[in-house]
Amino acid sequence: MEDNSNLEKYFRQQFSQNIPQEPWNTPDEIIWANISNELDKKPNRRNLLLFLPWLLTSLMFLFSMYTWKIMEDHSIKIRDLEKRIEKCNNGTKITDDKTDMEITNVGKKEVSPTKTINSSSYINPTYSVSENSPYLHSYRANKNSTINAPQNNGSLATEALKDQYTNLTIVDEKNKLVIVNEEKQSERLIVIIPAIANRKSAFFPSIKNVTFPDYVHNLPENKVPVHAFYIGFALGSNQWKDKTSGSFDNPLSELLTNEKTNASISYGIQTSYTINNHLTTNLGLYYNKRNQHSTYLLHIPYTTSTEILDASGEYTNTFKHSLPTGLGNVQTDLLLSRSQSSSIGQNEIIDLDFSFNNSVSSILAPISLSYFPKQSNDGFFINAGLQSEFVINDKVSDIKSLSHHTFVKDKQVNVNFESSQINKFNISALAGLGYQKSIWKKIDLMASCQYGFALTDTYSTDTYKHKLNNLSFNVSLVRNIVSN
Amino acid sequence: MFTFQDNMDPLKIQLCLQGNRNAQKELYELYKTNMYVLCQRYFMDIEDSRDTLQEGFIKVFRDLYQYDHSKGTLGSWMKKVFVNTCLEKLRKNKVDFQSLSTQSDSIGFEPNIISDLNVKDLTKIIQMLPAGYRTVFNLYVIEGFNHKEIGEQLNITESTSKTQLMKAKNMLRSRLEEILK
Repeated sequence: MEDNSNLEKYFRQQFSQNIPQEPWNTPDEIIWANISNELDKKPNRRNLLLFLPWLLTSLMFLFSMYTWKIMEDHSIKIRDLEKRIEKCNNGTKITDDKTDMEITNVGKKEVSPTKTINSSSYINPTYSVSENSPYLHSYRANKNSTINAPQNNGSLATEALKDQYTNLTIVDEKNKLVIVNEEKQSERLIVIIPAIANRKSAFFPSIKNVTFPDYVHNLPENKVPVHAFYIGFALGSNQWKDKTSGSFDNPLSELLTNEKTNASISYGIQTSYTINNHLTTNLGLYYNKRNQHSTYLLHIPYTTSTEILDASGEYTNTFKHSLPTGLGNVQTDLLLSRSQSSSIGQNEIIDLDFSFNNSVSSILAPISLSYFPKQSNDGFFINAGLQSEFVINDKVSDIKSLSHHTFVKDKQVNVNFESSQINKFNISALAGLGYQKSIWKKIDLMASCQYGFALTDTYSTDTYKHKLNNLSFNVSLVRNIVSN
Repeated sequence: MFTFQDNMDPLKIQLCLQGNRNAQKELYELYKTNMYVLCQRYFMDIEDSRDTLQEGFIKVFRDLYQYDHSKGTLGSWMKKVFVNTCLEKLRKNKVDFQSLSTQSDSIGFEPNIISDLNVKDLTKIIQMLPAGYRTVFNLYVIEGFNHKEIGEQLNITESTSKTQLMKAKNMLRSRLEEILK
């Protein structure tokens, strides 16, 4: 358009040449003074605070590496001790009716009667023996009685056993081992200690190794599996991959310029049940909302014969379409308008950018089996299973339209989507790997990455099929609420 | 991209790089008018224009070592610095580059009449545009960017840039009609 190019040319010419100085375009002297002052300042030192997050992250990483190293060393010591224990010879059985453990005490020396003491976790390993300990006295006086162990109270156990025993080794928490204090020849005490948690030991690495006697400690032949049950909150990030086959059976399909399901966040509950020393089963329930974003470029031949003059004095024209999407057809009603004084040719093409989201809210229920090479609920794992998706809501939203024409504008747009077009129940096959670690007492952190291969179509016709594969990253904070 | 005449002695540029305040003042005096008008084209508020002028010159002096005389004149390099400074300020002010005004379209006008308007008038007319239209108009018509480059600068689509420009020109025409009547 000639007047446009003249306008642009004139503006460009005026601003590209040297502009004479006049009062309106002369900055105050203070501007130069400020510039000069700023240039006199020394260059800004890098704000140390900018590095603070990096510094903290590095420190946390180093600290966790240090902690892991200590725990790893401790685990190695425990494994060594376990091997040594297993090499001891068997001997006479001692049975205490009121405990549920059989203890075998062996040795060629005569020993005084012994009793078992069940204590709870978190016992301070460094305590000394006292011959005159009232605890021991009562032990001797009631040789057939059972000492009632403190009920799952680490601090009480510590107090009860403090100053009485020495050189007792912390061993594996999940196994109960018998340890004999060799130092007191006149008093053989067989103590069963559910071992102190490794994490506590990591902070108090003053473990003293026991000098084991030639006695056998009755170890259970097989490690007793811990049937733990974890439950907690989970957060996931999902990347969706649209998989289509065939083509739309719709004459307007060529207008679709882009279609993609955007990434989404899911959150919910994660549970895990330990089957044996290496296998756990997991079940989750997540709420998820995903958006499929579809973009069209419409070329609408505008016809003035169907125009209506509305109350505001503008001509309006309605155009209806049935636009195909990966989740079914969307019916659109587009109302275009122009002022009475504007001119447009018959069947002049109106270009219109048009887009909307198809929002699907659903419940995801993944169920899987996890294999831990090292130990259930500890370390890396691989898992496989199925994920079900139950669609609870589906609607079209975030509708945007933009016409590219000087005289015609998009006044209003309505869309209608029949949600029954999509499948309300979808299944995917899951496979992935992850990592679980105890971070504090009975609380574990689980992180996993899984890929879901869609087994069902989200939408299909005779000529077109749409599936959604899914890559998810999940983080869960779970608590062990049941273990034996 | 269109530029105006550069008269800065290369030796003086060297002195500026060395931090010679007199040379820097001379450079400032040479370019302050054109750069101030550039800033006024992007901001309606005079304070924003002054702030941007100040920040722009500070950046020029601090980053003068990046200027390569083989790639263009000092004036064109400075113009880029100032345009970027203006866009940064607009982003800080959270200007919406995608909003559309409800201004109605207008009919044409006689192009010869606008030759009566001087730079001051044209600057005032541009200032009266909404921020989004003004920015796209400046970048396309005066700075010479294409719609793809404008889209990348302002984080908008090409089609939005085209529409903004079209709306800006329509609004300018109607303003010009009002002025010239």
